[in-house]
Amino acid sequence: MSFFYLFAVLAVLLVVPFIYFRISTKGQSKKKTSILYGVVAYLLTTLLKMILMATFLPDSDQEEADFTAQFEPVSAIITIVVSSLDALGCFLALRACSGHSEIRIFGVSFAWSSAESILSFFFVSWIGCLKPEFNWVYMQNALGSNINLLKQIAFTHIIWVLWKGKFQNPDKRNIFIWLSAFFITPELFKLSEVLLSKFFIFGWVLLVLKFAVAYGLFITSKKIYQSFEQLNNNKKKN
Amino acid sequence: MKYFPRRSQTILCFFVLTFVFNSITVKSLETLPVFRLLHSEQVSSSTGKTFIRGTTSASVPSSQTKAYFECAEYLKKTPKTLTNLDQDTDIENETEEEIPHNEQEEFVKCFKGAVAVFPLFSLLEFDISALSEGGSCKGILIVLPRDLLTTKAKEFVTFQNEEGRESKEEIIKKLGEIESILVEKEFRVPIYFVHEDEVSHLFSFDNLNPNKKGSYNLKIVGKPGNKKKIKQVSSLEAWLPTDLDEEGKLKPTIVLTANYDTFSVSPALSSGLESGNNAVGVLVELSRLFTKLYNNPQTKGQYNLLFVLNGGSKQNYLGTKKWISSVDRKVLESVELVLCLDSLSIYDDDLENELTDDLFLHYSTGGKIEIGKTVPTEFQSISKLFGINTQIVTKKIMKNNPLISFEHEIFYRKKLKAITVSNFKSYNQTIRKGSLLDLQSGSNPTARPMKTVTTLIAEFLSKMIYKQQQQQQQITIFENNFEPNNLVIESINKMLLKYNRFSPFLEKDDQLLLNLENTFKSFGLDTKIESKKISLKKETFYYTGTQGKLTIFQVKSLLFEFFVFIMSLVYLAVLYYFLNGKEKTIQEIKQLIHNRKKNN
Repeated sequence: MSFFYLFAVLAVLLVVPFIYFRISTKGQSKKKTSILYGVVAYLLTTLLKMILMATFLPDSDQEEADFTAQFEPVSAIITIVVSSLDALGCFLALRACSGHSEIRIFGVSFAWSSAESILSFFFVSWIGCLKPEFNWVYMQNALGSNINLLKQIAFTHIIWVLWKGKFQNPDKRNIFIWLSAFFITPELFKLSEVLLSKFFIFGWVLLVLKFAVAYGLFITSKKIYQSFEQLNNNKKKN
Repeated sequence: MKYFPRRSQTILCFFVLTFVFNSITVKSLETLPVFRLLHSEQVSSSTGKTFIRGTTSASVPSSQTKAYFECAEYLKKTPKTLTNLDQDTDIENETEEEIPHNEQEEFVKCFKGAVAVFPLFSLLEFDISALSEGGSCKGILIVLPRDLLTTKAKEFVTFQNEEGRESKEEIIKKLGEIESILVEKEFRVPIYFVHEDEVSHLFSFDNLNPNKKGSYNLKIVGKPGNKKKIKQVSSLEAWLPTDLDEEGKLKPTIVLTANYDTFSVSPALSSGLESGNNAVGVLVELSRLFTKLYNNPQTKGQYNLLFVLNGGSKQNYLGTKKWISSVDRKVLESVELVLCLDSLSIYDDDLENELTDDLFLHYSTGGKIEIGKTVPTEFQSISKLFGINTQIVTKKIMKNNPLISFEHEIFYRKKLKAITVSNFKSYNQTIRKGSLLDLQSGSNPTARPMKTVTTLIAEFLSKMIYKQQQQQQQITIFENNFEPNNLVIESINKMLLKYNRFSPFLEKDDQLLLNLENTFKSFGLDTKIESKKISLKKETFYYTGTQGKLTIFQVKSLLFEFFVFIMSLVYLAVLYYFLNGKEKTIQEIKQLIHNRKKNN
C-alpha cells in the first residue's frame, strides 16, 4: 500500500474527532484543560485496568466470544468491576476540569476517545498501511474509532447526568441511568460486537450496525442530558 | 426518522455507500513453500542487471493473474474453433491446425511484467520455452496437483486430438518432454513449483477463473543458491553371512541391490518412489525374512546374502560403479548372482504400455559371461504361481556406450551374472527417469500389494539358496509366520517419501541412510555405510537454495488508493458540512477566501 492509503486512514482516525470537537465547542473557553484532564484520566484508568486484570483475572482458555463455554462468575464479576473503572475515570476527569458543562463533556470525551484511537490504532495503522498487501481493516478501524467517539460522548453525557443528578429524588429513570452508565453502555457495545460475530457479521456490515447502536446511544443520552438541563434551568428560574 | 436529524441521515447514507462500492473481503497474507528449478545459475538479463536464475532473493513484482486467465480462456478453444469454419464445410475435410505463431506471441505478451501461473497440465497447451528469454515475463509459477497420475489429472487436460482425449501415456510422455525442456534449456526467469492444494483457494483452476479478483503480488524469500559439486556418493551394505565352507573360504554370495535416490526437475521435490525406490522397502523386508531364516541353524542357507542400497542411480548409476570398484575382492569373487531391484509396483490399473501388470526381467548378452536360461525361466515359472506375468528382455551390451540402462549392466561388465527385475520395459520411460509426476502423497489403493512381489522374489531366492529340486508341487516357504509384512514395506516407503533424495545433495551422515542402517541393525545384520569420493572428467554443478517461502499479497493499484484518499477527504468535508450547518460552512468559506485575497 502507498502513502495515500496511510494518509486516508490517519485523516479519518485523527481529523474527525477534531472536527467534531471544534464544531461542538466553538466560541467556548477552557478547552485545553478539559482535553488534558481527559487524556490523563484515560491513561491512568487504562493502566489501572490492566494491572487489575493481570492481577485478579484468572487464566482462561475460553475465547471471549464463546457463549457455549462455561460461565465463570468470578471472571465475569472482575470484568464488570474493571469495566466500571471507565465510568470512575470519566467522572474524575469531569470533576477536575472547569468551564461550561458542554466544554467539559465534549472535551473529556474527545480526549478520551482520541487517546484510545492513538494508542490502539495509530501505530498499528502506520505500520500496516505501508505493507504491500492492501487491507481494509485499517480503514475499518479508523471508522470504528469515529463510532467509538459517539459512544464515548454518550457515555460521558450519562456520567454527567448521573453526577449532577446524584442528590435529586431517586426514581426509576435515575436507576436506568445508573445501570446504563456502569453496565449497559460499555458492555452493550462489546456485547453487540460479540453477538454480531456469532452470526458471522464482520467488516463493513458490522461497522454499519455498530454505528446504528452508537448513534442510538448518542441520541438517547443527548435527550436525557437535554431534558436534565431543561429541568435544572427551570429550577434555577423558579 | 424523528430522532435522526437530516445531517445524520447523510452520514448514514455515506456509510451504506462505502459498504456497497467495495464488498470485497480481503484475504490475509499467505505464506507457502515453493521449490526452485534445478540448475539455477547467475545470468545477465537483457537489461544488463544480474540476477540469479530461480532467484530467491529478488521479489517478483505485481503479477496480473487476471491476464493469464483471459489468455488461457482464449487458448482453451481447440484449434478448430480458432479458425472460422463455414457451416457447410465437410467434417471429413477438416484439418487440424496448430496454434499460429503470432497467437503464441500474443500469449507471451499477456505476461508482460507479470508472473505466469501455470497448472502443470496447461503446459501441454503452451510452449513454455517461449518464456525462456524472460524479457516480458518476470517469473513462472507452476502449480502441481498432489496426486498427478489419478483420474483428476486426467479430467483436467483439455487437449483433444482427432481421436478424442489423449491417452494418459501420451500425456505423461509430453510432460516428460516439457520437463526435459525445463532442465536443458536456459531460462532467464525464475521458475518455481508450488502444490495446488496450497494455492487453490486463491487461484482456482477448475474453470480457470480466479476466486478473488484483483492483483496479486508474489514474493519469494529464501537463501540464495550456491554452486555445489557432487563430492561423494554413499552406499549402505547389510551382510547376512552363512557358515564358511570346509576350507574356510566364503560360500557363494547373492547380492541384492536397490537404489534409494531419485531425480526431479526441482531437487526439493525429489521424494517420489515410482522411479525405482519402492524396491527399497522390498529389499528391507527380504533382509528381515532371510535373517529370521538364517537365525535358525536348521534353515540357514548355503549362500551369503549381501543387501546393498546405492545412491547416484540417476547420475548413470554412479553409486553402484563406485561400490563395485571398492567392494572386498573376496566377496566379489564369491558372487554367484546379482539381483537388481528396480521399480516393483504398478501405479494405476488403467494405464497402458507405460506401466503394466507385467514384470520385466532384464539381463544382458554379448559379453564374456552368459547368464543362461535357467535363472530367468525359473523366475518366470515362480511368478506365474503368484499370478504375475514376467517378460524376459535381453539387451546386447555395448561396450562403447557409457549409458547404463539398468543396474545389472554394471555388474555384467564386471563379469558377474546379474539380472534386473522391474515393471518398466524400457529404461527411458518418463517416470523411471525421475519426474515431477512421481509425487506420491500416500499409498496408492490401486497399486499391486508389494507383499506379492516380495513373496515372489523371496521364493525365487529360496529356490537357489536351499537348492530345491524341481518338483511337481512347489514348496512355498514364505507363508504364515514367514509371510512378508506389508506394513514393514509401507513404513519404509513412508519414510522415503519424507526425504528429498536427490543424490548430489545427500551427505554421508544423512538421516535417511542412518535410519535405513538402524533398520538393518534392528534385524541383526552387519551394516556399514560407505561414502566414495567422486571426481568426474566433466564437472557437473548443482545449486543449493532449492526451497523458499512464497508470500502472496492481494494488492490494489495506486489509482485505487488515491481514490480512497480522495473519498476520505470527501468524507471529512461532508462531515464538517453537516455538523457545522450549511450557512455557517458557506460563511467560513467566504471568510477564508476573503482573508486570502486580503493577504495577497
